[in-house]
Amino acid sequence: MKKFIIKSYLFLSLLILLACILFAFEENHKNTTEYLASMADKHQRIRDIDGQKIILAGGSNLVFGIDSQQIEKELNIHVVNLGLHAKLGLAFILSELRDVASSKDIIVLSIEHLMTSQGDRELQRMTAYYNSFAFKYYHEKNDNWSSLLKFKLDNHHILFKKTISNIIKKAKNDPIYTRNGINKYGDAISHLELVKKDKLGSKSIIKDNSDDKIKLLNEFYLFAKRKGIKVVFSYGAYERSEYENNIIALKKTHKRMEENLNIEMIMDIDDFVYPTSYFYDSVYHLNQKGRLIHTRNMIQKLKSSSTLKEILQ
Amino acid sequence: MIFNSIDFALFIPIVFVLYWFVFNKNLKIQNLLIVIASYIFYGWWDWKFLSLIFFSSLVDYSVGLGLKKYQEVSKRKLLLWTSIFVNLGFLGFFKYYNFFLDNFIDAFMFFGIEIKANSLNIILPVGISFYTFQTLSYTIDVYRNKLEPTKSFVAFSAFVAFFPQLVAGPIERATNLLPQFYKKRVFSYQKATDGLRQILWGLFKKVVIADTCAEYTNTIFNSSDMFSGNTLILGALFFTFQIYGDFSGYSDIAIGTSRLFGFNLNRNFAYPYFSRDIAEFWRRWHISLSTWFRDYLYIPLGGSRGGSWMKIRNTFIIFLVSGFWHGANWTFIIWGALNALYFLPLLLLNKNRSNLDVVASNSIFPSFRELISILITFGLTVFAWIFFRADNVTHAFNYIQEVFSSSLFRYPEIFPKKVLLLIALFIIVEWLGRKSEFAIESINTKFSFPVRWLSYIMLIGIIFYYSGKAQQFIYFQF
Repeated sequence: MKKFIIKSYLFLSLLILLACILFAFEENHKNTTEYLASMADKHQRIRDIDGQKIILAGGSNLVFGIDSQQIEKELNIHVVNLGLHAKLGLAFILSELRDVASSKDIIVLSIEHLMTSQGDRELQRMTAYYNSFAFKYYHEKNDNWSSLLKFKLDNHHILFKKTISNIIKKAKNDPIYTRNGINKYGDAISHLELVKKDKLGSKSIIKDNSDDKIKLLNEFYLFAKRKGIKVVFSYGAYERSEYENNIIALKKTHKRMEENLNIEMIMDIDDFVYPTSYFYDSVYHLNQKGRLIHTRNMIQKLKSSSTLKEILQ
Repeated sequence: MIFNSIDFALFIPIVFVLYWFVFNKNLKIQNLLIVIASYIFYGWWDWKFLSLIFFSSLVDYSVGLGLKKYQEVSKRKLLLWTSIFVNLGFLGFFKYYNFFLDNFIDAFMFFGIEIKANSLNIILPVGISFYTFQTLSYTIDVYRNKLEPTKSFVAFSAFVAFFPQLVAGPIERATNLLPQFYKKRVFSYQKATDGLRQILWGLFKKVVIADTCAEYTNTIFNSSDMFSGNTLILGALFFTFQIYGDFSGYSDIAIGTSRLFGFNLNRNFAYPYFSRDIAEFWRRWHISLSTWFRDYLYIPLGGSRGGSWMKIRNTFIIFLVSGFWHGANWTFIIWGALNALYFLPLLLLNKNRSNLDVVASNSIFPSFRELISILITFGLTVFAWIFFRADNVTHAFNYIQEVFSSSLFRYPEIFPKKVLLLIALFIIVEWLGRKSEFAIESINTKFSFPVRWLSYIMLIGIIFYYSGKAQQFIYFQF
């Protein structure tokens, strides 16, 4: 037994020592210019604005496809583009909104068709790695010791993965997907001058998962109503051929949404569907031209929304 | 509580310290600690179902004592049937009630008679099929006078609820495990380090292989109508490795954990995918279940004695029951029937025991003939797994239909090279370790101390790297 205890102790010590070296290495090289780290800037802008504001919430279709400054100018209300990544999931995004939105705010949900209700856990953990406050958006609400410990381990896990990736192949600095490429409103601007990519990414087979989404959205609607927050719903910008490939599932989802969603839908199913030439690198990310048109369309839809009529007149 | 969780990582050292350092002087208290630890382990999932385990233990303990007391055949039979009725009654209610009800309604509907009956919202208690079979083996063996009934309720409860193997086996026989609770356990350095190595390898199989494959399996099977035949073949392959990594990984962790506490559990997997025929596969896959069915069902039915018709009947019964044991779904029954069809020609031609030794036992590589036999057996197994994984029978047939369509010749929509490489490396390690109980067992004798420790650290690193997407063990649902 003595031998077993001594050897176990030595082995564990060695393991902890190696882990500490690795983590220290990564902590010193932590890349704070990562795209996901921009969530902190968006939250800071929300805190900095005193009074009513429009919060655009959804995935990266918003980051790449909206000119928030233009909306602010046209509607004369401060705008924050909170969009970040569709794979964070609807539950995460709504939880984030519950945390940051204040009474009298206007929330414009712009939800990509591929967004699931629960999202991708790995991405959520990665987001919380760069923005520790985001932990509460995907963990159980009651922060007991077990969930906090899990969060700490999650963080070490990401640190470990990052360090190993850095050692195996030096991570490339992407000039587009970076915190520095996002302006003070929360919009990506670094891609605007660039030429459209030959192949658009993020093509996928869309499945109808409206039941979960409607439940989450209707719960959020009740929360918003209680707090005096106005909410409207729209789909994200979407590429036409991809829309046509998925039309059956999309129409099914849309029908269910129309029948069951308590939040006003400010657009029809194909209002934000655009030709391929309007996109930059994925079927959700608009280029400069697409962004201009989409922003204009969005402003139009917001102005004609019955929920926002009184505020925006 | 699941093995690949923080809860278990904290639980096991606490129990270990209490077991070896605090209660090591008193066997009864040590056994009681195992019972309490096992109930905590199970109750972590849902404490309400602890009463089922307790009641099952109480009934079978009493039946055991009754069987010792009474010598009259009629009374002994009554006691045995009481045990069978209680245990299979629980299993039947929780696992099969809705299945029988739905099929009963469908059968009447077929003849134009409509019956109104509502399915019950029943939660299946984790591991019920495993501990039910384990405790049944006790009463049957006592009835057959193969085992002396125990007087200690604590020892018996520890045997039924022994936490390392409570929820997903190996299904231990009372003749092997129960006597180990009567003897004082002595700590063995060799046994404990072997146990840790086996736990490490089990975690690798579960976290790295099974959970990685699970992502692709789920994507492909959940949207199988969207993919080409080629991708569907990959989906079936991923499931083949997922279920092996998942279940044999669990068994390795269970056996390794037991070793840490001085217990020996039976081997449950012996490199089944290197089998040269289906009979060999079934001697190497889920061994504790196959031998349970052999001893308590197949042999009492007459086994392979008698004429061909008897052999065919018994083989079908055992495979169908085995399929049904896995779940209340026709897919499992078809999976069982398919394996019976694979097995029967070997049995009828008396070739079911031709491959008893380890494949290529005297060489590194298999002969050409062996390789072909392995590939054919593997192919048949992969095909049968489609039924096992499919949501229902229609899904399975549609899946197979698409595999054999013209889309088979299209480039697969999903082709994760890194995962396929990982599986290939895993096969190589398993092949090299095929003569040992688990693949990395011989690390201890083959490599020097620094290389050994470096290998362990690398394995732990890889497990930690892949550990983000923890999935429930598949066999928990059975």
